[in-house]
Amino acid sequence: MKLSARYYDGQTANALMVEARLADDGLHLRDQVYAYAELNLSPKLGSAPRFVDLPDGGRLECNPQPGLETLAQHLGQRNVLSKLESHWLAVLVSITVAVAFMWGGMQYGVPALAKSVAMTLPQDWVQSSDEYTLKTLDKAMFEPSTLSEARQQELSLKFHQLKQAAQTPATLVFRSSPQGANAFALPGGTVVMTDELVALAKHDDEILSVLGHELGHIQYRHGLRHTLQASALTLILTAVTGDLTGLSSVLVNVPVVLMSLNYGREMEAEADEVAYDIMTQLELDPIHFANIMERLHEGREQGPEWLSSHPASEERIKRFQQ
Amino acid sequence: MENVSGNPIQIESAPPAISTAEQPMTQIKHGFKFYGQGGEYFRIWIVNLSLTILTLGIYSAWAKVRNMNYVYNNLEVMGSRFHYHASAINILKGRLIIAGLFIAYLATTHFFPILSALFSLVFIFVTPWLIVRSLQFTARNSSFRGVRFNFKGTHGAALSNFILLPIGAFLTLGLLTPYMFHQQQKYIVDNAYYGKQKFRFEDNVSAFYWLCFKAFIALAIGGAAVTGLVSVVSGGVTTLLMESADPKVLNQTVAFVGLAFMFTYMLLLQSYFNVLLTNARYRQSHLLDSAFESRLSVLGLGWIYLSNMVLIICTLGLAIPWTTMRLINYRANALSVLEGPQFSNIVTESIEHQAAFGEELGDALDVDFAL
Repeated sequence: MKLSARYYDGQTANALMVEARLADDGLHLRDQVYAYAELNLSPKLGSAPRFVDLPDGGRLECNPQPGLETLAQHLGQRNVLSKLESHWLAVLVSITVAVAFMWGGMQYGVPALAKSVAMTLPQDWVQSSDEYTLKTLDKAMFEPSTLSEARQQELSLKFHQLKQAAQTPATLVFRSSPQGANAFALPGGTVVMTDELVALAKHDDEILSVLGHELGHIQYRHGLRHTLQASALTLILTAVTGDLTGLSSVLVNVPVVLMSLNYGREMEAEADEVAYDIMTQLELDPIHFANIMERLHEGREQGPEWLSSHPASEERIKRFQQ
Repeated sequence: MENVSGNPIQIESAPPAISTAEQPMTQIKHGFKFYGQGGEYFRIWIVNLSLTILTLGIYSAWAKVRNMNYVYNNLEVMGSRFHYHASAINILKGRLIIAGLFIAYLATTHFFPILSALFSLVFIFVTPWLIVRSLQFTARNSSFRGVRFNFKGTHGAALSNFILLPIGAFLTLGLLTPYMFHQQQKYIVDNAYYGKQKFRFEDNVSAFYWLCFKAFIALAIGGAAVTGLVSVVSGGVTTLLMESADPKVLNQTVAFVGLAFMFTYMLLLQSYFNVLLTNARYRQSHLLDSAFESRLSVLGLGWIYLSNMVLIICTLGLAIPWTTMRLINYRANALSVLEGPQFSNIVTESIEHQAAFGEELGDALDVDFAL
């Protein structure tokens, strides 16, 4: 059996056309005989040329030809991968595995993984970050609260009841913000509420309903989970698309951002659930949450649902009106 | 070359006597050719992907070697193909180390944000080291005609070109940016070797200033045009659909139009800069008496980027193998070697296989200079 190839001597960048002969005792090339045990044949890869490494540093580059199959047999090489790749059933199974994994992973796997990691981490690990975050926020966007001491105490006392109902440790801090009415929870259990939100509320139970929602975020450690999910998603997508260069990084970031927003929506729904539970437990009317939500979203422009981090407020409000 | 089992034919012109430097050169132009096919690569890629999934990611190292070789082995110039030699085990080790470091970094900065300042300081010194390792890893594991590439840049120079110069560019409000790009390309090319032969980067700082000026003008004009276009189009859409559609649908449409224009603009801008930079890099690169030529066009590359993006999104990623092949094919077709008479005399460097510390980390940071 003959093997026609381009020969590189392993010394210079020169190329020679050669024809080798495959005999029982080995590969005959020029005046040399190389035993099969000394040779290394690169694995079959589609219809690309394959390389034979010679023990003296020389190299053969061979286009697909029958001789290559003979050589592979002499070397005992089976090329399982190449057989898989050319078998339609194996390809079909692979497509199914990949698609199922990508879909299931993004839909359930990543959130579940982030949840279990976030829930197992000890609370005091998470707490330390809040102080720093709040300091940064104070510099960037907040001013000290102008609520009277008595009013702050009154609200803190009511918040304490909420905490007990939710069985979640948390701290309430008051701030004033030029950006308006807002309340949010930091991962370590600090709830920040702006004076503007207090002013917007027409009933203290409205404030409590919002605080209950934030307690839900803390109870489920949404802040930490969100960070974990975003990092995991970036890693997966880079692993899938990043094994070859040339794809724009924009491509990876678009789905990550969209998916992160989606996670945000699910978490908001979860926190809403907690708020609802607490309110029924303390015998507060859930309509208060619907009312303040409506007022919060009045005049605020609503983007399309897939672009927003909160579920469309109409939907959320309806749940509390029942 | 007698007594051979076959008939060796010397296909390259006979090596001439060592020429004196001033001798007029006769260079032969060879275009790069890429033979990779989307359908064939899809089957390799999808099997690799599902094996990676089934082995919980461990197979990804072997998948990388196989994917890379599909590209390398199908890339031809002067009648010969490239080959990627990296060992999958080494790649796996590197990936595990990087993943561990990444998790440690995430954890510590999340819980002790105060430490992130310290980390960025450490990162400043680790990055140049990683860049060198990465360039070295790719180069040493790539061969053409049985001769390996190499990279011998120093860490100090990497620090100054990839950390200090960017800081300088920032402090000078971008005045140093073109110089920074020039120095980075020079660093990558000038320290690269093919066998024992060093590549040479021809200094031309003013070309890079001109290049960045053009990109900047494109950025400004394009940005203004896109802003104007978005407001006109979204205004048009709003008046058109005002009566018929409900506000939610209307908002969605307007947001979608805005996003589509933004991405198109960003992709075209990126392709413009990419084209200018790649063409300049090859124009200024030399290997002994050989030279390079890259003739990418902005619209050509922009169209490939854009249509590839649409294809990938519409197929939820399943078109990635085709888009990858298209992009490489386009880039290969634009690239040529001007082969000098002494090319075939380039000799290999004897490999006293240096198992340098951290060689495994080389693949982690993808600073490729392939194509």
